[in-house]
Amino acid sequence: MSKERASKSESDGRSNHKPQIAGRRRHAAAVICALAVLLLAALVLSITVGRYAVPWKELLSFDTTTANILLFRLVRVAAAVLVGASLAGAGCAYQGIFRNPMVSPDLLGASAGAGFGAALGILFSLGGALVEVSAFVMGLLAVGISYFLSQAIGRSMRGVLVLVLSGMVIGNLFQAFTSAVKFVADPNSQLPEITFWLMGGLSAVRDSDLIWLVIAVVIGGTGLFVLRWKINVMSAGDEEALTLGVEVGRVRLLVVAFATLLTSASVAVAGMVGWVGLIVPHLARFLVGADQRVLLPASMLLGATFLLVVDDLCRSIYTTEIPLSILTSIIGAPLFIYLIARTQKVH
Amino acid sequence: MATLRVEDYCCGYGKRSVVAGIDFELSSGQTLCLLGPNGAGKTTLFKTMLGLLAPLGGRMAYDGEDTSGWGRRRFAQAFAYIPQDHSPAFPFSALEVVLMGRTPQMGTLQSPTKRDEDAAMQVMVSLGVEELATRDYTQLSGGERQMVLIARALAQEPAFLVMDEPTASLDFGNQARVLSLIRSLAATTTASLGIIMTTHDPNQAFLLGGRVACMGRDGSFVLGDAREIITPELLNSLYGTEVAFATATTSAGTAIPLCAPLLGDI
Repeated sequence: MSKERASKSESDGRSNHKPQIAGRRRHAAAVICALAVLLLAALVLSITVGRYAVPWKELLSFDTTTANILLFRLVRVAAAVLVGASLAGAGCAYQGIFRNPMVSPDLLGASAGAGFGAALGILFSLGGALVEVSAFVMGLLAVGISYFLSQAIGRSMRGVLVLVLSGMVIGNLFQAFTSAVKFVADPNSQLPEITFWLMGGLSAVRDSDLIWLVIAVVIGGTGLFVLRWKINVMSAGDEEALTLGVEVGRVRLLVVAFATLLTSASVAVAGMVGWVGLIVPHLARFLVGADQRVLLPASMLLGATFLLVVDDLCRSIYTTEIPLSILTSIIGAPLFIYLIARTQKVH
Repeated sequence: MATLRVEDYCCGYGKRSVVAGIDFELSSGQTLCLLGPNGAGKTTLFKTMLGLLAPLGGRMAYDGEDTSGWGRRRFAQAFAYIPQDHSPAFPFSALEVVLMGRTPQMGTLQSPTKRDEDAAMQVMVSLGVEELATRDYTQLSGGERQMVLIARALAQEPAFLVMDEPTASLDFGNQARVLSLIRSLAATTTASLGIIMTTHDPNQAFLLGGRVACMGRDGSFVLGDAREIITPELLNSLYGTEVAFATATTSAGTAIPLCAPLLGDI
C-alpha cells in the first residue's frame, strides 16, 4: 500500500497478478487429481492384501473362492472409503463453522450417542442390523439434544460457545449411559461385544449396510458441498458472516445436520473411529489451503485413502484383526504432532 | 445515490438501553465521524444499524424504506462493515477474503463464479493491493490487512461503509493513507459511498472535513459540522481532559484546526 509499491505495480503492468492466481487454481486442481489417483491406487492395493493374499493373476482367473473373497473385500473396501470420506468431510465442515482447527466431528456428541445406541442394542440382543439402527438414531438424537439445548439456554447469544458446551455435556452424559449399560450387561457375552464394538472395525460390515452408508454420504456430502462457500464465510466469525449476508443460524443448523448424518452413519457401521475427522482436514489444509471449495473434496478423498490404508494394516499386520480405532490413534497421534510442529515453523 | 435516515433510535442489549434519541441523516458522498469515550455506545449503535441487534425504539429508513424487515442479504447489499483488525482461524489468501465480500451478490446456495473472482481482483487493483492477492491473510501486516478488509467491503458493492475505528492499529503513515482513501471513496463521483466511522482522534474529523456526531456517556448526542461543533469545551466534557487547539496549514495553503489532550502541570 506504500507509494513505491503502488507505482511499481503500475510499471510492471496490471496483469502481473493473473498468472499467480491461475497458478494457485492449477495447483489446487493438480492436488485433487493426485489425491484421486492415490485413492485409486489404494483401492487396487486393498483388494489384493489381507490374510488371504490374492495375487493379481488369480484375481483375474475368476474361480469361486477368489470371487467370494473378492466380493467380501469389495464390500469392506467400499465401507472404508465411505466411512473415511464421511468422517473427514464432517470434520472439515465442523472445523470451518466452529472456527477451530482442533474440532472433530464428534464435538456435539454424535459418537457418544451412537456408542450408547449400539451398547443398548447389544444389551437387548437386537442383532446386527438393529444395533446399527439404534446407534444411528442415538447419534442423531444426541446432537439434536445438544443443538436444541443450546438454542434454549442461549437465545440472546446464539454464538458457538453455548453450542460447544452443550455438546460437551451431552457427549459426557451419553458416555455415562454407555458405562451404565456396560455395568448391567452380561460380562461373559454382551460386555465383550460392546467393548469390541466401541473399538471400531469394518470386519462385520455387510453389503446391506453399504446401501444406507451410500445414502447418508450422498445426502450429507452433497449438502456440505452446496454450503461450502458459506462455511468459508462463517469461519470469519458470526458477526462478520452476518454482515456479509449469511443467515448464520440457518447455515449452522444445516451444516450440523449434514455432518451429523455423515458421522452417525459412519459410527453405526464402523464403530468409534477416532482421529480421522480431526487430522485429515489438517493434512488437506496443509496441501490445498483453507478454502472449503477445494478443502472439502480434498479432505474427503484423503480421508477415504487414509482409512482404506489403515484398514489394510488392521487386517494384515497380525493373525487376528486389530480394532480400527487402535491403529487410527497410533498413526494419527504422531502425525498430528508433526503437523502442529510444521505449522509452528511456517508461522 | 442513497439516503439513510435514523429517527429517534434507541439501541441496547435485551431490555437495557445504551443509547437513545439518536437522529441523523447520511447520504452518498458524505462522511460522518462518531466521536465519544469508551462505553458511550458507538459499537452498540453500529450493531443496531447493521441489523445485528434489534432497535429498542425508533426506526431506520434506507431511501425511505424501513429496514426492520430486511434479511441478512439485503443488509449486506446496502451496508458493508469493516471490523477492527482481527486474526482469522484459518490461513485464507487475501483474495479469498476479498471474495467473501461478494457473498451478498450471490444466490443463497451459490459459490463464487469467475465473474465474482474478477470483481474481487478488480477491487484489489483499484486499491493498489493486487500483489497481496495470493498471500496468506494471517501473515499480512496491520496496514495490509486493513486494506484487504476495505477491499472486501467494496466488493460487496454497498451504498454505505460502516467502519469501526479504521485506523486503530495502524502506524502514522498508514493512518494517513487509510484516511485519504476514506476521503476519496466518499468523493468519487461515479460510485460515491456514504461513510460512517468511529474514531478516537478528533483530528480525523477535522482532516476528513465532514460531519461529526459526538456521543457522551451521559447519553448526549451532538451532531454538526466538525469545525463548528468540536470545541475545547465539548472535548473536555466528552473525555474529561483538558484539550489544546492549534491551527496547521497544508501545503495547499488551507488552514485546518488540530487538537491534542494536555496532561496538566506537575
